[in-house]
Amino acid sequence: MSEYNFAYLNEQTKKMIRRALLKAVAIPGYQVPFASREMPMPYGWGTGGVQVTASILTPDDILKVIDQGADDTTNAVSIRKFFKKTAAIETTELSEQATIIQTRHRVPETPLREDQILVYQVPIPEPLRFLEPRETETRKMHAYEDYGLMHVKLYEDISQHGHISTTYAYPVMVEGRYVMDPSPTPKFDNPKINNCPALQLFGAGREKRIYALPPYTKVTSLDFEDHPFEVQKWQASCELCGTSGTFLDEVITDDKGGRIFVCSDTDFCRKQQSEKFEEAG
Amino acid sequence: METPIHGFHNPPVESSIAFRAILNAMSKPGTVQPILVDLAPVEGINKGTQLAALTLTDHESPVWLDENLSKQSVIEFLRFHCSAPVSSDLSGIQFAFLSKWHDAASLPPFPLGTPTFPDRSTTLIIEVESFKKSEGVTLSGPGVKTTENFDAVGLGPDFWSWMQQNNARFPLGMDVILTTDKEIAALPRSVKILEAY
Repeated sequence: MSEYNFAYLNEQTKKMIRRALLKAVAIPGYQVPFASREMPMPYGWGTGGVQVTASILTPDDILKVIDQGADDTTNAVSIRKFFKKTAAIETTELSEQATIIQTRHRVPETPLREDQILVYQVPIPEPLRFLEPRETETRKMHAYEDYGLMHVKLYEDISQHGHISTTYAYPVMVEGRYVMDPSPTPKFDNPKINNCPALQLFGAGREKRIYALPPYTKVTSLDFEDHPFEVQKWQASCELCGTSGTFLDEVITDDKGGRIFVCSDTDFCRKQQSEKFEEAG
Repeated sequence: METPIHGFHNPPVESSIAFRAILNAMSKPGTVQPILVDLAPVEGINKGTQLAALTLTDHESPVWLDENLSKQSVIEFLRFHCSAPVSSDLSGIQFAFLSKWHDAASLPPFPLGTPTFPDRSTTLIIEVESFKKSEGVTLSGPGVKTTENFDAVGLGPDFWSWMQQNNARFPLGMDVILTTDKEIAALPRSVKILEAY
């Protein structure tokens, strides 16, 4: 422990990130450039999220890290270990217990509270990037609220597929001003991002951007009057806990076409299983 | 060698606790956050201002001091603990420290950001006497569930109308951190002042 500064980053780096975080909170949905540092993990493994977490972490925090909803995947386990080693903080797999939840591409099924902070790992923060590759242009498009291109993209989805086929990284409008990429979370989670009691922070390490949603921010998924926004629905319920209405992962069980659906949120699933077990006595 | 003025005793830990208070204040406008860090008094500034300076400023963030704060003790404190350049070139000021809100007319023309970079703006850190939750103005906007009543004793009469104008320029504008010896609060540019008096 003594060989690391608290939460790994040096104090000047933290000051720089903290200044960016305050601007991000003050301008919800706007991507604040920051001087992202090299981290002891490759880009794509959550270097942005880790830098945000390191800058907000206090010794009393309890950290939970999830990767696609799961606490026990390599990325989640190694980030938890990283902060255990460099900040000597407590970690947890329980959503209710955590004060900070760092996430890769899911919002927990358990409703979040005002005293929690959700930190997203973001690969491409710019929602317009695949439509307009030039940063100079997308920056102007945000400045002038020129978001017609995004609606054209969604319209082309409808003209080709009969419905909006975007299922993840589904663009949202923040407080009627900035179009924002909620990171590649499934669109299933978009309603949970709206009016969320917890502070939501987004860190993109390679792209060097930080953005934020303060608690209770109005976040609407872009849609059309005749093609309203809809979340995914499943015929199946979770094979392990039996719950329906959660985000389900498809798991291949053999090489003969066997498959089951299970909750992507492992903590929520485990809780449902133990509740059922107790009910059954 | 004698350390001229005290800063944090344990900067990595105390700055993290201090920043969480500032982050909470900025993301929940109208809430009052206690200062949970033990700070030795510095002549000329209150502890909330001291906390904000220690947590947020460094050699990359030029700061501006109003006339009352332009004291040797404050300048030395900022230089020794933060390496923050005290500047009179308004265009690059990241943090402006005010001993009190004088009035909108006497506020120097600090940067408000630009349409493409609204983050390149000044944050005002203003000392007040105390906070009140019962009377004052009604706040709403991001970070506020429905509405929040808030007031600070010691703000000049035209502060709230200035805040309304500040919000009307959104996404441009200045963010405000209000400080006392015991507590801090913040008003980001996104906050809406429903009823100003």
